[in-house]
Amino acid sequence: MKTLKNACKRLTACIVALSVVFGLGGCYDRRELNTLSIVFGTAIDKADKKGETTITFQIADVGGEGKSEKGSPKGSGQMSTQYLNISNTGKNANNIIRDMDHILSREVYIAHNQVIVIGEDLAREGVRDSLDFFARSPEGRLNVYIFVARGKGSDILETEPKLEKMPSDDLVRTLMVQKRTSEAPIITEFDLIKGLISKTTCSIVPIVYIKEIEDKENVCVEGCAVFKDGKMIAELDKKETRGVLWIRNEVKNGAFLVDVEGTKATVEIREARSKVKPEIRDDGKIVLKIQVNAMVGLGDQYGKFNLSDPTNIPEGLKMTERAIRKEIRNAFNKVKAINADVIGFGDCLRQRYPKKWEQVKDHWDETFKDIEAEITVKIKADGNGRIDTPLHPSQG
Amino acid sequence: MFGFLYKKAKALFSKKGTDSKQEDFSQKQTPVSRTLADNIKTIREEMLLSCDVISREITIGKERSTRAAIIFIDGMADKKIINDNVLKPLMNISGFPISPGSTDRKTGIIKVIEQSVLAISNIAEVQNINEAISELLTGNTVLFVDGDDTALAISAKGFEKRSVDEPPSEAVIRGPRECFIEDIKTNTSLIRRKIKNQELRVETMTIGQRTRTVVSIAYISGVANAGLVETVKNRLKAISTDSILESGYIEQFIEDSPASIFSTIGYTEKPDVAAAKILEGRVAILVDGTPFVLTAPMLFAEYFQSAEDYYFRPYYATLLRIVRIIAAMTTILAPAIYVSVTTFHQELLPTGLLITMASAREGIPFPAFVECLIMIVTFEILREAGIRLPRTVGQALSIVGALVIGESAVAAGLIGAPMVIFVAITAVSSFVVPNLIEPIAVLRFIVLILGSMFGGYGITIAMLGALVHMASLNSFGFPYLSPTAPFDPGDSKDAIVRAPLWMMIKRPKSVGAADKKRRDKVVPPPTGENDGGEDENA
Repeated sequence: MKTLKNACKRLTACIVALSVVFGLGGCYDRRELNTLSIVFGTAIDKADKKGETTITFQIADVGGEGKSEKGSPKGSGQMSTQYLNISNTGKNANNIIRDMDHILSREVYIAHNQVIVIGEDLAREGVRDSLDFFARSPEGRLNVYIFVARGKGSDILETEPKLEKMPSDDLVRTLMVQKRTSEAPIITEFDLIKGLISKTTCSIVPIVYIKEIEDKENVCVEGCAVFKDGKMIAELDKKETRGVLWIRNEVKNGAFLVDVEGTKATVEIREARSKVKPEIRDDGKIVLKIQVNAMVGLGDQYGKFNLSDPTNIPEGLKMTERAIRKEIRNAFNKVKAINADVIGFGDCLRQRYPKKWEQVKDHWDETFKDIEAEITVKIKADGNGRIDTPLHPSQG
Repeated sequence: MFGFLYKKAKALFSKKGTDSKQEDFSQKQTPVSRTLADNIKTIREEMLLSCDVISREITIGKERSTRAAIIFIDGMADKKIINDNVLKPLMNISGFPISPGSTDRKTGIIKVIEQSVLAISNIAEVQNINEAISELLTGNTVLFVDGDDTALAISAKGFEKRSVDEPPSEAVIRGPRECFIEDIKTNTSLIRRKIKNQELRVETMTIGQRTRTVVSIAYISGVANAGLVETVKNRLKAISTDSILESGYIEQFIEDSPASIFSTIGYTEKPDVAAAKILEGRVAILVDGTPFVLTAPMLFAEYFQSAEDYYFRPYYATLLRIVRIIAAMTTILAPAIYVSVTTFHQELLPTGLLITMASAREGIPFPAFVECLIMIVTFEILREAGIRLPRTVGQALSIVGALVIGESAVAAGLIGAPMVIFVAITAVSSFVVPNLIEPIAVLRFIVLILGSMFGGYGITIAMLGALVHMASLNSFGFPYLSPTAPFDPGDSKDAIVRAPLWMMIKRPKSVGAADKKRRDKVVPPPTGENDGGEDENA
């Protein structure tokens, strides 16, 4: 009988504990997969009316029964994705999205959103307010890729994808592939937010535009937009972008065209690492020491001068070093010209020389203009490919 | 309110306790009469004139001076033995020396018969009728001699029994193929043949007032914890029931936590497994009439051990154990995770998979939970049917089952394709740990229901609850989760990892063996080099 009493006591305790446990549990928000509009891409544009924005969602049309046009068998669960772009205009982002419930049969679900494309007009006007919702909502992720579109962002999401099934997917994959060129930054929402709340650091965001090739529209990701104070202030072309990426230690691969003794050679960056160190000279001037270490390989060469020949390699390396240094120098000058600290140099200085930072922080913009750069580039040769002579008859 | 419930329950239980009539058959004592006819009559009446009670009256010796009778139950006695070793010597004996009326116990007729006439190895003297009847019921033959108040219980049992076969529920690739059978004598001999040690002790008792089932416990007295043996014996003695038909009855009467979904007593039908458990210091409980032998105490880790683990190389055995643990987790969690992820945590799915799943769920009329429930219940039905149905219609079932669970259900739009995969994985995984099927099936439903109501939070709570519950269990005083909790590094080499046998010097502490060591020191197997050297010298 004693055990029974104990058992009853325990049961009571269990029931009380469980009722508390489940009563306090606050995630009672179950929803079936087929009640969701799964958003894959977002475009934010400035609307015609002043102070209003247009948000376009790209929603996966998961191809219900009878709807699949591309002939995939019913319910087989194969990817037969089509998409649907739906736009709504209003004042605040959250409001606009809520209002979509009036026109959509399924609730908007942004956890799988992959890209946010910001239209140029809105970017120039400022993105801080428009991104508030996306940063705040716990549903959306912070690893969403951000783009700035030349023209309207919604047009990018309308472009027929080439290989992928959805334009937003196409965009993300293009961004990932072009990493090999290091000519556009890869920026997530989190990176952009970090830039937006920093006092000194300016953000860069890759630019996407529609490039017409033989009357076909293609999305093209290259170059970047510079955001200062939440507004887009300038564009960098792809060479300048790579120059900036060198300084930011974000170059991993890429190719250069180098002219050595009349021979044009493509030099591939195989591996790269860069270090940025602020230093204060005796006269109080701030110097940015940029050191780049890279491994390069020979991609191809047009001309007779054999760059694979060990005696000629130093010459080739020298020219490559010069090209890289020039690229960085150009980018640095450009950044100074538009007065945008896209390198995060201010934060770097604050961490390293807090006292100096206290002196300059109030007039950082002017200080930034006066900063000088010391660029050191050290590269090593890393292979010339399968052949070690150009395809010319040897000189004898 | 709970107090009220408690009182009700108490009243209910106590009523049951007093209602059951405690008839003790051995209490009525009718002494054996000196008159043969009386004895036969009494026995026949006590046995309610059952037709299968056979009595055969004879006269002893060629002189035909003394009358006698044997009584046995048809089908339970070996007639050949009775004919050759009992009837023939009795009838053929010549010059029967003793006068029939002698009352001297030592030189009495019954003593002479017992000592020099019957060619039977196992004979017991019986003084009263009830004893005689219980001997009869166990299959022995009783011999009454006219004029003597002692009867002889002659052990000449012979009933139909199965031969030692392959274990149907614990098939092995490597290892002994023999299996316990329903006859307890054969079973004890199977264990004894594995452990030829005089310390292996088999103790026998009878449980069940009506079935009078023979139950034996087997242990090595120097190895098993004395307290454990005492506990097992006491619990067995305390059983008050009229019938024991299978070891499952015993299990439910003596287990520590009858309310738990987990079993705290292990069972096996392989003699090598039983022997291994006994050698680890456990106690085996053998029940007449079933090939399933209980072993106690049973720890949770034993679910994941298999006899083959010790016959294979340790690396593979360890891998297999990890696989078993993964399979057990899969079969508990897979349906719940599927439902909770698709209804609560869609963000956890890779984007590509989400589209696939969403398009598979398109047009399915039920919520994922109901969909899952349908499939799991269907599977349980098929499984149950597969066990019960006659072999001949098995093929029909497997075809229907494959169609129902597979293609057709999807094509009919009843369930989505991913669900089929999840249920299939769940089903297949559940067979990896066969002894765990019972608790797992229950746990799976609990986890599924909580998971579908509260998502990952519910699953966590359910699993946490199960863990807390398991941690609170003990089997004959030994913590259920040992050697993991409480952690014991020594025992851990036979929990998830199976260390090489030569490294396992000590018996598991978690079952409290009295003799802690299997041997004194680590003796690694001789290396090839040493062997070669010795060969050359020789």
